[in-house]
Amino acid sequence: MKLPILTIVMTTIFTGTMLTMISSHWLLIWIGLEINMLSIIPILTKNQKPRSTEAATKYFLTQATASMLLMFTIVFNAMHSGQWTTTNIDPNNMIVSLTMIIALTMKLGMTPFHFWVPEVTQGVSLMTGMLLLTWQKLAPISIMMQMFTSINSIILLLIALMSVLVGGWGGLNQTQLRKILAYSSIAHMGWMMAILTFCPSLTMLNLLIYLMLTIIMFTMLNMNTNTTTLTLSNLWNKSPTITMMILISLLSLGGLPPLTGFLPKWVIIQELTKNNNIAMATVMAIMALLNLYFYMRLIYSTSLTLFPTPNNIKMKWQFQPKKRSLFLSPLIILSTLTLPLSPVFSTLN
Amino acid sequence: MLKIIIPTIMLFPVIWYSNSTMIWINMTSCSLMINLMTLPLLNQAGNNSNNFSLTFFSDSLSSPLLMLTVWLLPLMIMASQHHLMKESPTRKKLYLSMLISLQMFLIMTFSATELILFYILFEATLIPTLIIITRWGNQTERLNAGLYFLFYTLIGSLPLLVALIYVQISLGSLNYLVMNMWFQDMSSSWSSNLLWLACIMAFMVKMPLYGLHLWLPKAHVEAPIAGSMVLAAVLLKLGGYGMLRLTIILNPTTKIMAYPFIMLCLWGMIMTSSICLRQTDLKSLIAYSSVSHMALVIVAILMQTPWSFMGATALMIAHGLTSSMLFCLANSNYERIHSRTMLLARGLQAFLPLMATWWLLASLTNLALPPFINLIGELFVIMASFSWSNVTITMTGLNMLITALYSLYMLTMTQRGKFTYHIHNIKPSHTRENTLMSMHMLPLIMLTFNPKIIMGLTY
Amino acid sequence: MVNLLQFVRDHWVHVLVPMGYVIGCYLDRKNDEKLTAFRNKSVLYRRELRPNEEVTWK
Repeated sequence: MKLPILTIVMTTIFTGTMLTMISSHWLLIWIGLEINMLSIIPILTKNQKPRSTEAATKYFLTQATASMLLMFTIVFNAMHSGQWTTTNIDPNNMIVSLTMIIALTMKLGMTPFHFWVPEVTQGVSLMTGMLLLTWQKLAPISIMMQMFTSINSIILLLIALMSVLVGGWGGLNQTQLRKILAYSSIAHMGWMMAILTFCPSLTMLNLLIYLMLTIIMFTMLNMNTNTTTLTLSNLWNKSPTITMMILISLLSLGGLPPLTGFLPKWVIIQELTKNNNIAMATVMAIMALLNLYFYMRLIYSTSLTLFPTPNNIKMKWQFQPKKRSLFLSPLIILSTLTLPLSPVFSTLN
Repeated sequence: MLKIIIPTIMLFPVIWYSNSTMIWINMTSCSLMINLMTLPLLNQAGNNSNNFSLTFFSDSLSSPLLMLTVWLLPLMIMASQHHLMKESPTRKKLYLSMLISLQMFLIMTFSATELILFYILFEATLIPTLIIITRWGNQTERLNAGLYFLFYTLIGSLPLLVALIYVQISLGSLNYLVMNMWFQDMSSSWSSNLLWLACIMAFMVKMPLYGLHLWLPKAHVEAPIAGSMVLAAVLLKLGGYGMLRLTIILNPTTKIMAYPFIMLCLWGMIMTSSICLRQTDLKSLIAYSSVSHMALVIVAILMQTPWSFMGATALMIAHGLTSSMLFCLANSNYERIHSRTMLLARGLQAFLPLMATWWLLASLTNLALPPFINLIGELFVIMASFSWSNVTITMTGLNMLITALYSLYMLTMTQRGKFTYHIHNIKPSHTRENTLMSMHMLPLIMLTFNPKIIMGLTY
Repeated sequence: MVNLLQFVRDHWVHVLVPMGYVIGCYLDRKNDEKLTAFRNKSVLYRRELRPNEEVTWK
C-alpha cells in the first residue's frame, strides 16, 4: 500500500473512532463506527491473499450486522423516548437494552458473538491483527462506558462470564498464535465487561493494561514474524532476549501475581466481592486459569525447552531481527513491573 | 527488614558483573555474608515482634523460617555447581538470578505484615520455582511436573484471594499485627465453613495434604537439585506458615472443620510412608517422606494447642534442613550413577565412606533420633495429638515405626550390600559436597542445644 | 599499583552486598525515626523517654 493511501486510510480509522468517542448524539456515534469499519477494510485486505479477503468479508458482515442492530436500537429508542442522547437509554425497555448489548458485544467480539474474532485475526497480518485487537476495541468500549448506567447488568454479566469461559476454552486447542491472542482478547473483554456496571474506571484500567500487553505481544511476535507455536520454538536461536520477554509478558497476560497483569484481576475481584458477587469473582478467577494454561504451552515452547547448548555458529547475523521498535522496552516494563504502583490506581475510584 | 532485602537485591549486580570464572565463589561468599546479616533476628526478646516497618516485621515464628531461607541460598548454589557445569556463563547467571529472586520473594513473604501482600508474594514465588523446575530439569516429564505444580497451587489459592478480600471488606484490615486484637468469632454457618475452606485449602495444597499431594513428588523428581532443595525446605513451609497465621481469624470454625482434615492427615501419613517402603526412585522416596512429615505439621496446626504449635514450628525447621540434606545426598549419588534408581546405586559405602556417614546422619535425623530437633518437633506433635484423642497414638506411633523402616531401607539400599560393576570408576566425593552436607548438619546439631529459638510464638 | 588496580577491578563486586546492608540499615533507621515521631505525636502513647532509654518496641 502506498504511503499517501495508507495515511488517508489510517487517518480515517482514527477519525471514525474519535467521532464515536467524543459525540453524545447517537447518529454521530453510529456514523463514527461506520467510518471506522469501512476504512479498516483496505487495511485488512492489504496482503491480497484469499485468506485475508475472506477475513475482511467476515469482518465486514459481522460489523455491518452489529451496526444495523445499533441503528435499529437507536431508532427504536428515539421512537419511545423522543431523543438521541447517549445517556438516555431506558434500562427497563427490554428490547432496547437487549439489542444494544447484543450490538455492542458483537462489535467487541464477545461470546456468543465471538466466532469472527479468531477467524478474522488469523486471516490478516500480525500488525493488522494488533490493530484489530487493540484500536478497534476502543470505540465500542467508549460507548459502553458512556451508557453503563442504563445497561441491563444481569445480561452483561452473563455475557462476560461466558466470554471468560469461551476465551479460555477456545484457546486450548490452538497452535496458531494469532488465534490464541484473539481468544485471550475475548477473555479479557469478558473481564472488562464484568466490572463495567459496578465501576467503569476499572474497565478503563483493565483496557489500558490489556492494550499494552497485546501491543507488546504482537510487536515481539512481529520481530521474527512468528505465527505458529512451531516457529516460536526456534526463537531462542534468533533472539534469546525476546524469549525471556515473551515469558514474562505471557505470564503477565495470564495474570500471575507479581506482574502487572494481576492488577486488573485483583481490583476487579475486589470490586465484585464488595458488591456481594463472591461466587462470580471466584468462578472468573478460576476460569482465568484456562487462559494461563495455553499461555503456559506457549511459554514452554518458547523459552523453557531450549537446546541444551547455546548456539555457537558464526552465521547468526542473518537471524538478526531487522524490525526494531522503540517503544517496546518501556511498554514491557510498564506492562510487567507496575504492580508495586497499585496504590496509585486506588485514586481511580 | 530492608537490611536483608536490599543486600539480596544487590546479589543481582554481583552475579551479572562477576567474571564468568568467579560466579560460584562470588555468589557463595556474598550469600553467606547475607546470612551473617540475619543473625540478629535470632535474638527474640519476649513475645514482641520485631517491627521493621509498616510493611515488614518478624517475630519468633517467621524469623527461624527467614533464617532457613537465607541459609539455603548458599547451599543451593553449592549444590548445583555440578549440574550447571556444562552451561554457558549467561545461562548460569540466569539460573542464579532465579534463585536470588526466589530468595527475595521468600524473605518478603515471610516478613509481610499484610495478608494481601503475603498472598501476592506467596504467588510470586511460583514463577522462579516454575522456571527452575521446567527450564533446568532433566527429563521431558518436567514440563508436566511444572504444570501440575503451577495449577495445583493456583487453583488452591485463588479462592484464598477472594476470601482474603472478603475478610478485608468485613473486618477492615488484614494486618497481622492488629488482626488478633479485633477479630470476631466466625458465626457457625455454612458460609463461614466455606470461608474456612477457602482460607485453608491454599495452604493445604502447598503443604501438601494427602490427596492434594500429587504435584509434589512429580515436581521433586523432575526439578534440578536446587529446585528440590528449596521446594522441600522452604516452599512447603510457606503452607505451614500461612496456616499458622490465618488460624487467628478462623476461630472457632477450625474446631468443627478440622476433624476430616486431621483424619485425612493421620491416614495419609501412614499411606505415604508405606509408599516410601516400596519406592524404587530415590528422589521420589524423599518427596513422599516429606508429604508424611508435613502431614504431622498439618495435624499439629489444626489441633490449635500451644504445644502443637511449638511442635509444628520446630518440625518445619527440622524437616527443612533434613529433607534438603537428603536431596543433596540423592543428587550426589545421581551425579555419579546418573540414575535415581536405588537398585543401581548399591554398596556405595565401600567407595565413599565419608558420604556414607552423611547418609547415616541424614537418615537418623529423618527418623527423629533423640538429640535432634526433629524428635522435639515430632514428640510435641504426638503428645499434643495424644491428649487431643488417645486413639491417634496408634496412627502416629505406626508412622514413627514406618518412618524408621523406610529410612533404614533407604540407607541399606544405597550404602550396604554388594556394589554393582558399573560403579567401579566413580569419582570420589568432592570437598564441596562434604562442606554442603556439613552445612546442613551443623545447624541441626547446634539447634539441638537451644531449641527455644525455633519453637515459635507459643513458647 | 597496577596489581592493586587489577585487584579492585576484579573484586569490586564484593562491595555491593555490604553497601546494600548499609543502605538497608540507613533506611530502616529512617523508618524507625518516622514511626517514633508518629508515636510521639499520638496522645495515647506520648511520654518522655528517660535518659539513656531505648525505644521499647524496636
